[in-house]
Amino acid sequence: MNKKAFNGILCIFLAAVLLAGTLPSRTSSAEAEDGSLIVVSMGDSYSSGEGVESFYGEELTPDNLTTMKPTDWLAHRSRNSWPGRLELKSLKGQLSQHKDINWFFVAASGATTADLKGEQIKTVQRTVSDIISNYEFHLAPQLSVFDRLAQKGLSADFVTITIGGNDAHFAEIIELAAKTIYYREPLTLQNRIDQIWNEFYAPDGIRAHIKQAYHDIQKAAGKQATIIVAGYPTLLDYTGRGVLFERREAEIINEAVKEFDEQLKKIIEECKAEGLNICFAPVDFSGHEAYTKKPWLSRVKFLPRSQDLSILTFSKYSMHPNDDGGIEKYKDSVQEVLKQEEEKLLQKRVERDMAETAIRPWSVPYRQFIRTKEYLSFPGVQFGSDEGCIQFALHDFERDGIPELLIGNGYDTHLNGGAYVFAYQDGQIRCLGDITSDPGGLGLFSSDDSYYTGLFWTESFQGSRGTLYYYIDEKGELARELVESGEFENRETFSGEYHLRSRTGDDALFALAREPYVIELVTYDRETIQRIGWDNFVAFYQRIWDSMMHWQTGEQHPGIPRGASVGKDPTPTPKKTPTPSPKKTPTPSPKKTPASAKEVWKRLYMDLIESGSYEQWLEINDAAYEGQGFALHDMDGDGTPELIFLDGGEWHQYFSQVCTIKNGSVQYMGRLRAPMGSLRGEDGDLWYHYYENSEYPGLFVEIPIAGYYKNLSDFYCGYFHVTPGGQIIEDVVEASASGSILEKTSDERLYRLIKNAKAIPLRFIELEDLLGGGWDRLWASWAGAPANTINH
Amino acid sequence: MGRSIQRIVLFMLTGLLVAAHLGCMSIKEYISEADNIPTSVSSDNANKAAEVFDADNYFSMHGTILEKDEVQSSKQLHSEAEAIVYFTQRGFDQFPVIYSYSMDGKYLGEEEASSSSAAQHPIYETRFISKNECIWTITEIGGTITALPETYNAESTAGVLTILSESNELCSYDSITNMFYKTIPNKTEMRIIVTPDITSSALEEFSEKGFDER
Repeated sequence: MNKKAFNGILCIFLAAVLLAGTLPSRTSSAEAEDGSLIVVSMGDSYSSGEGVESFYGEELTPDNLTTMKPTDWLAHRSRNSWPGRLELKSLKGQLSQHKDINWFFVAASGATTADLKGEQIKTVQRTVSDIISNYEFHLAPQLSVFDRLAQKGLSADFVTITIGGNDAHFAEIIELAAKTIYYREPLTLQNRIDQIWNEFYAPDGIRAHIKQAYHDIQKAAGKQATIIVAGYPTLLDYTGRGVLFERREAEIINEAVKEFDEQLKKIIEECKAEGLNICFAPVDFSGHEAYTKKPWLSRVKFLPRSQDLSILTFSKYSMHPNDDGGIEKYKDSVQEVLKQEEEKLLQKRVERDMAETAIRPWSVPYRQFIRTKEYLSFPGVQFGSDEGCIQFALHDFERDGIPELLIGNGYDTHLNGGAYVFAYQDGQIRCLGDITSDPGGLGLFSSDDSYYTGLFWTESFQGSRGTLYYYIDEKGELARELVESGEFENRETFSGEYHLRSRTGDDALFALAREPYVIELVTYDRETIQRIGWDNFVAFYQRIWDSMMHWQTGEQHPGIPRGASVGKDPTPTPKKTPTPSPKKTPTPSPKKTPASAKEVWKRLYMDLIESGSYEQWLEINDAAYEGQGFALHDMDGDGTPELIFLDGGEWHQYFSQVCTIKNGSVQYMGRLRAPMGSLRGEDGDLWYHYYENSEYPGLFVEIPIAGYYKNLSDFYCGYFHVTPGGQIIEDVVEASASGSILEKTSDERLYRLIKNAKAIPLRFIELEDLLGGGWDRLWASWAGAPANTINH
Repeated sequence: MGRSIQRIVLFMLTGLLVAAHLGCMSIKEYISEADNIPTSVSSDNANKAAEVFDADNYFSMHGTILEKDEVQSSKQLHSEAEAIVYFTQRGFDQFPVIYSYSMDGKYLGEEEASSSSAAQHPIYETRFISKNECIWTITEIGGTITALPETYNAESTAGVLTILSESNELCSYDSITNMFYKTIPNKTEMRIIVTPDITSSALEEFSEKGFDER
């Protein structure tokens, strides 16, 4: 056996961890687990299905509204809405059958464009003991649905919406027409409509709001989402039963609605020209307006219905598409556009898969294998009952360019409970065998050796240690060889003399196993693969293989710094447990005056750090513990700084966590990817930084490292900011290679900012310094005063 | 729920009916991101009222013009405070009194009259809900009062609007010329039911017994 000696062994284990940190926390093309499409239906009452009972959550409508908040009911989201009746070619049945799986319904009666980004207040009036009480509820900003999707690792493929009718006071116009006599005040209705048009065309008026709303939706939903805007139909006919509306009034209103619809069309054209993925679905109710013989819109209903939120106004059911044709017509109108757009999207996916197959024939089959959970029913394999524990990884055992797929058996986290090895061969997936597990598994590792390309399995249990080597034999089956086993003199502490009990006869293999393990096989669960996207999952492993090739050929790898003396001792060491800091007993303040906001967040952050309770969030993300640093920065611009803390570990800083103060307590917000550039620590690379007095209050990261972005960039700048829903997301500001831009933000001001303004590095204060009394330096760091940066 | 209580609360929460009907609450403050999105668009729609209406022609075609009176010199006008008293004395005190025009004919949108204001306006209106939940709009223009039975008209098969008036003559308002037009409308325009007094008790009676029986 010919083992190529390592040239300055580098613990690529770290590199693997760091590479993991380079994975985007959110992609703009995350598909549903099974590859099916995701639709979000948002907007106002014309989408929510106002007036068409029953409403979701209706059965939950409690007597005591103070203890329950049936959000769907508050928004009057109908079970018979037209968005729920839409169908996708790629999905069985109507969307309503896939609510909260493939279809997310957030439209709300009464919503304006402002309610997409802000909370919508709904007031419920109910009579209790002859007293009318008002209950106020807040509906979440509709755009926050995209944060919720992102948390599930999903993104919308389609967004349907009707919005703007409430901004343009449709309902008020109808009411005005109903209560005025045209003959007595022939100009009042037109005057009000003129007034609304003025409001519409004002520089920051209704038109601008609608346009901004479309931009906001695209931004929140991602570039991949197609926004389908449904129009509004003409509303009234004067020829039918009843004389609530006179002929001229009906004409004025219909003319205004038509013009409004035309403007929507124009706005959409403008948005398209500006790069939005948006289209218009006109809705024509001609001959079926309210008060016709066969109306598709309900009449004005003077008295509130039992499901109306308010009992003191006309029923909100008035003048909405009915279930006698209105809802169906809306559905048909949008369905036509949706069908075309879905076909385009599916075609794109086919083309994408074909392109992927041409480069990596195994990629699409593996993806489908995972998506469809085919592995669960694969002959001869058995998984633990908790599917969430099942982890996945790729490893190219034979370095033949076709990696094997490892699937943990789900009996333990990562692959520590054992794993099955699947291979893509001759157009099929077959199971080559399994990596069995005994207690104390430490995981799978590989070396960058060009001969021993299999995986090392290391166990450490009750003072004994064992290493197995898994490889694919000449028959193409998974085989293993015991590399060594032994035990420590002091078995409890893994210390003292180590007694080798048995070992392989292959000296080179034995020696290799005693070298620092170079790559820990990083694994992902299905949800994470979903979140980061299959392409990124594959790209991650591809980069590891590429890195190994660089090492093997002795080339300097362009993406990962090497040469740092961070070799890992092969001797297993007990996991370091953070020393709990003594909990600080709060000293009662002698002052009787209420604490200022600044005093409050200072105290809360201090308690958090001193008590060590921030570690709960480190654990969530499986982070290391040592070398923590803390910084303050007001990422959402609300006047209260967020606390940013490194996951710790001089070499393990692949995420930073962010928490904030909300409702008088510390709350977790999310995490930031750490720039790999920080690991160089040699040429003053900027770490997280920000721009003073900027309209972009979030944090930036600049990474001048080759291969950081999609394996290509040599410069990357990302912007971490807080969404209206309080989530942290990262936008690409620029990714470029050799001076050519690979991706760039569409926000020119943001781009100019990073090019022209002076960046201010975020100051981190080490935990040790803080616990040693250096709190003032942390507070001062936010005020911009000089402070020591963490030494990295 | 007792209807009497409902009406009491209606009175107390009058703003709801006035400003926020049919699912449309007041617009929320919108925080623009000030992105580079062009927002300035010219309007061809903003002043249609002035373009399309010729009052002399309209009232000649749809009725008989008896008299024209300039608003600013009219002696029939009420101040806001007087209008409130005028309606209250007739029993219309459930809802606020609303005006929408200034004395020079400018449309203001709906504003609530104040009992301490001496400012005058060409038109005032209020609403009335009868015990059997018929909804009426009461309007005072140039000293003449009418009552519009909204719920009745919504279901009417009469083919023309029905209104109650204290006279066959109606006063209309043209905001472009800022003139009152006293006219007799053609019968094809509306059915006027003349009643000696438009009061809450009279409207209760109409609400109860209907119109066609009279």
